[in-house]
Amino acid sequence: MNGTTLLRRLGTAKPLGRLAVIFTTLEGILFGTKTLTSGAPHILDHIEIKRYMALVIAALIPSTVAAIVYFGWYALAMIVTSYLCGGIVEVAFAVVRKKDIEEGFLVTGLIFPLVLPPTTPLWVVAVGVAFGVFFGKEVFGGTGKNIFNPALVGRLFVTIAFPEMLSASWRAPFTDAITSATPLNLIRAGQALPPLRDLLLGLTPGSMGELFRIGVIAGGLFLLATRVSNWRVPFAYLAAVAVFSAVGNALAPLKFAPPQIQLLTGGLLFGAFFMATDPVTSPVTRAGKFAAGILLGIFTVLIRSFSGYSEGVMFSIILMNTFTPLIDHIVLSLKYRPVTG
Amino acid sequence: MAGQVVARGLGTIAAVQLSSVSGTVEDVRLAERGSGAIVIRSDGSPAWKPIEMAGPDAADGQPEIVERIISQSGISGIPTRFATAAIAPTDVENVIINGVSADIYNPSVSLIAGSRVKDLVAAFRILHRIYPAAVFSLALDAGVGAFAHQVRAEAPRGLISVHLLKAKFPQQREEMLLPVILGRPFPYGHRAITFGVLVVDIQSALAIHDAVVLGKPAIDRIVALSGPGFTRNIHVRARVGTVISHVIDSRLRQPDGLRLVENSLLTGKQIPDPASTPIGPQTHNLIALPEKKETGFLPFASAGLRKDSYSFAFASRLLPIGKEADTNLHGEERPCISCGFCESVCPVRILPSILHKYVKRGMIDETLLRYGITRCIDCNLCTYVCTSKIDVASLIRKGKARLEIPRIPVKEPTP
Repeated sequence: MNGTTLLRRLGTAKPLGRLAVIFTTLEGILFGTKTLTSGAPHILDHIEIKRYMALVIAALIPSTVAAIVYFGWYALAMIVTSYLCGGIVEVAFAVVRKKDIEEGFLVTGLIFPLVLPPTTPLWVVAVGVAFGVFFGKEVFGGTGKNIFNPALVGRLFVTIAFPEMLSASWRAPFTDAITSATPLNLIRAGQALPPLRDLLLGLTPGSMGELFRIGVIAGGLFLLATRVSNWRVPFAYLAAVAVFSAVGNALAPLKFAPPQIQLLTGGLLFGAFFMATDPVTSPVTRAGKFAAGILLGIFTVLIRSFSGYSEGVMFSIILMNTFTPLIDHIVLSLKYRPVTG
Repeated sequence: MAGQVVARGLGTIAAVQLSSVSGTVEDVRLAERGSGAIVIRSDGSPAWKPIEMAGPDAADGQPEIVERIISQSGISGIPTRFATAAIAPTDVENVIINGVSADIYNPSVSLIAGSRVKDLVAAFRILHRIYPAAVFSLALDAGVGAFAHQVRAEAPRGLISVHLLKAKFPQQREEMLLPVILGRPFPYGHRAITFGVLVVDIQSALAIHDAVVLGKPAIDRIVALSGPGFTRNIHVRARVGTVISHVIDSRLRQPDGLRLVENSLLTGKQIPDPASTPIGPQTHNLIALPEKKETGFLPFASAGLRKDSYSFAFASRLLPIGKEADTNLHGEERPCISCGFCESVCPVRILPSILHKYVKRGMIDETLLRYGITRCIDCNLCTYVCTSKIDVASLIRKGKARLEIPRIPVKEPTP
């Protein structure tokens, strides 16, 4: 008996009950589908959700490897914890709903630890990812129906629930020294910033995945080149941040950091390339994508400059997610006038 | 005798059905979808009965004679005063002869018409004779640039404008040809002929020449045998009405596990029973595809050297090698993630991802009309590219069908 028939039998085995869905999913991952087209079109594109999500994970490899190199095995432990706890929630929902396990979780489970500070306790990682997958995705009906990016829902929850762990203590790569100052905090305090080279390589305190910015940019461009993510949102987002911070900096240099600093600090690049581009939670229409990017840019610069928080990317994307249906609605009603006559 | 009228529609002006072979009528019976079938056993003779009044001089003769010859030739869809058509001959304002190869498998235009440039130009002159006020265009794709050059050199000045179009599916469809060639928007949901644009495929154009100049009735078609299911991909000339299995059986790579599709992999019908299906007057391509059930180990993680995709997710997009074609779904159906691929490929620029969700939720109302659902031309590209393997095009079709104004039954006048 070969692997595919074994999994087939397990997937239809009665005693397993609803747990059998695990094996059908596994069969799909290992051996692909056996379903054929049932009419025109007789052939289909080879792209599928598994490939799509696998490419996002591939694009995250530079950031992930850098996080492990910078912060050691603890970073890996955080990723494993995230996959385990988020996975349990995902599988539990698939079993209850009698549906296949959805691959989108594999991306959420990796992005979530990457947007956390490297000092986050493992139990906080576990609570955060479970909250994010549960309240950010499953309660809306699963992949494709969620309004907010699940990883960011988790991040927002732990930020509010455990503020002292998530925004007070940071650690720079290759050190054990705990600091309270990320480059964004330094800007606020009006202190000198680390050189650009350190920002590009990520040798400053910050969330794990956002630091190795060369890798973030490379991964983001890879996703754009494969058409997995659309260039409109990140382009508009980064351009808007550059423009608004340049204008702000010219008018009030003490409040607004200059564009090159804005772009290369915090989670902006990571958020623009990997989270604002999430197709489910960003607008569908092309004009809407530009609008969302510009809104993101304004939100981010404003929050960074005026709010009680030094970083605004997470709040901006969550806020943009809220406006996504409205943006699409406005674009559609402008583009398609009511049928008259 | 081939070319003999075996059936005639009722009325004074009506279409004729010609026998495509010489032989004896064995049976007249109902075929599928309420059409009738006439079974003729061929006597093996290749001869055909010439059309009356046809000949080399006929092309320059009276338009009425030319029209009579065409109406007797078995070529359908050409408006003449002798045959039923959507419009009268005087209403034909534009004639487009369509030789665009933009499907996945296409018959070779240079093979069909490459050595017949003079005949093709003659066909234009014949059509010019019966539609003197019409504007004539020849639509080709950039793949046959040399052929286009020959036609330009051969054609009289000002008779034909030759357009070299991008061979991008579905450019060969009349809905796509019209905006490019005539520069005006297509009234979606209608046929081009109903507003004076006659689109003729290149084989039919040559058949018009053959009918008028040689007196040859339209009894055969050149059919391409395409796809990996054939041992050799060749073109065959077959009489219309030939049972398909007679043409393909000896040329298939394997007897089972193949799917036979007529004309187009994206929009064509499957031929489930080639032994009882004839080659039709519009058949130009028969495609045999493997019904592939095994996809190998970890198919989603393979480099995909021969996997076609709209995305650049596989190495195939970087290499100029042939792609494999099979009927596998290549993935499980998943919820729509709004990746936007369907919008990007939609030739009529509507939003399949939004439309299909409305239909799926049963929200079929004027909002769909506002969002342009009636512009859909059923090209099926949205289903082809869908990352989540949703049959987007079928859902849109369903929405269109539900929105169609129901026919109001007209009460017969009582005498």
